[in-house]
Amino acid sequence: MKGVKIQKLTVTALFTSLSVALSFVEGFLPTFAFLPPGAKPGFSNIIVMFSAMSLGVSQTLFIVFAKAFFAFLTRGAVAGLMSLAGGVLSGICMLIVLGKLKMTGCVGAGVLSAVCHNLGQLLVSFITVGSSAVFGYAPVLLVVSVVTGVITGAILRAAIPYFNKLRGTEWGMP
Amino acid sequence: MKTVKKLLPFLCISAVFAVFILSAVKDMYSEKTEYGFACGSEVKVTVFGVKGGEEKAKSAIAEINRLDSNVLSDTLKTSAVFKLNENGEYTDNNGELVSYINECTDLISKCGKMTLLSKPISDIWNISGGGRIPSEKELAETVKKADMKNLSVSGNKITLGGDAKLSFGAFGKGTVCEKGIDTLKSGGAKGGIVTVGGTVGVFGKCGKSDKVAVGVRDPFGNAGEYFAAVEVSDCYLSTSGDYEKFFEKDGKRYCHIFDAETAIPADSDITSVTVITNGGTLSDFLSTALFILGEDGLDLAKELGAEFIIVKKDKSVIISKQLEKQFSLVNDEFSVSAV
Amino acid sequence: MKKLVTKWDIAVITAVLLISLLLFAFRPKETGEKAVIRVDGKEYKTVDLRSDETEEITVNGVSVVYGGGEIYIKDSSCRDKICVNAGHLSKKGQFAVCAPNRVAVEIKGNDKNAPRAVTG
Repeated sequence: MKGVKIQKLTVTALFTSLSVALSFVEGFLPTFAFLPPGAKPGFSNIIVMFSAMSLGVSQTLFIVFAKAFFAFLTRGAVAGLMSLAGGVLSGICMLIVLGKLKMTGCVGAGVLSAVCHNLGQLLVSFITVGSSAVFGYAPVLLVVSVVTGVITGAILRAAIPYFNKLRGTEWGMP
Repeated sequence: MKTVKKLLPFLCISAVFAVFILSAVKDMYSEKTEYGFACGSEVKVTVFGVKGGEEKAKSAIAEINRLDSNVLSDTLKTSAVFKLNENGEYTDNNGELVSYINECTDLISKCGKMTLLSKPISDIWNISGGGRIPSEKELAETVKKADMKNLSVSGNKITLGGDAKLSFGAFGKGTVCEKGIDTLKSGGAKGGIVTVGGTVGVFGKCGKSDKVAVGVRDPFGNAGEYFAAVEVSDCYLSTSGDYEKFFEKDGKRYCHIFDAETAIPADSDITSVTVITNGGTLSDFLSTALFILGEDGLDLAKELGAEFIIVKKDKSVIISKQLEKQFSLVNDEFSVSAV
Repeated sequence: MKKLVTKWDIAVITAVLLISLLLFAFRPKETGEKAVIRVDGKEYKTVDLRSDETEEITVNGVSVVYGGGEIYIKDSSCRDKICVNAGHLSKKGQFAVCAPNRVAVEIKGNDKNAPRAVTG
């Protein structure tokens, strides 16, 4: 039993650092031509989705918090808050859709995750900017979410076998 | 149910975390704007990043009003300048007026074609009352009245000779703008923007970015329209132009900016001059000086460490080389070259 | 493993795109539809410019006319008439000020990319 516990800890740490690394590396990518300023592909969502699907509730939320904390340290309070709001929202959504109901495939989940993430960020910018003008941005953001969501969803599907290897077999189903 | 129980502690933590950051962020990104009037213009003060920004903005406007109505105005009866003009002399007990006169006299000595005693000139042209063209004789007399030699300061005593009348017209908005910014700074604001007529003062962190975009008025468009924007921080921007206060006679435009050596409105192929520098009084002075001197004034701007944007009547624009990176054209009817 | 694109995926994507389209169709109009009239630096009235009929209000000796997408100062008791010469305003950020009567008219806008101030 103890061995399983340690392995769980290691695997969670592994996936956490993977998600943090992905969101960090994302910052270096050139701005995608089809994305409006400020929007990012959100590759770290891939890890959160996998975690919701095959790791479990606490593991997923841990990853979300770690990501938010990392954003808080490297990019400031607002970025941290945005990451937290977006992360918690999309994390919970993924836990429900992928973990509990096992409804959609990877692509749909990716889109939902991106939508939730952007919605959380929009809420935070509404609170900090204090202007409802930010919601004028919502339609564009939804379309962008579809594009980035399909990409991250497809990547997730391709990566699942490798992620499963990383996770190991002793994990058991959450 | 098991899932909900597991989720609960995380949600609680995240709620506490969010409230904590939010309360810190709320002040950091708070922004309050107040309006007022001074120096014949609307005053707009925006305060960033501090609790009670409204009060801070109001106190900056109050300070601007005090400076205008007690010291600098040449139309309000309560001001020191008005009393000086009435009596020909004034004893300035707290030294405020004297220090502004000295600052402006120093600047004028660098330009030559300007004067602090400009009131007689603007009076004979009566631009704000519809305008008239004075006779040669009137002009010659007025040039004498406007000579800076008529102004003498010894200690706290200011004396005017030869029917001279003082006016801070070319400096006042810059001076009160600087005062407004200083008031915000000492009030603990993280950033602020003060607009008094054509002069804009910017300091600190205004919103998310360290830089503030300030529009440059389109001299051919309405008030509030801009043909370009500059990204700036911690500086003052002033614009002088012939497009707002002027009258036209026989197809010729007479504006409110005069060459003190001839008492005639400055007339060149320039329609507006914007100057960016580190002092409010200085920027207001320099924009007027460059408008009068034209391209001959560029050396003066460089000497005083100022950046400039000069718009000519043919919509060609000259900007200083250092400004190139901060400058972006909005209206592409204009053509820009850097010197 | 399921197919790359399931019927749920298609449903999700369609729903999101549909919501986006709806939000876009019912988005608030952007061009200057509201103007604020300030007296003595305080907001006196916010007026809607969209109605086709024009209305006129007079405050501090300044008569302001609005409607039909624009607003302007028709007449003022001041000497220099800079406010009247400012002409008809219809775009965001445009303004007219009558300093002697301490009345200002400005078209509201919350364009994120607009400069924070204008010199001139």
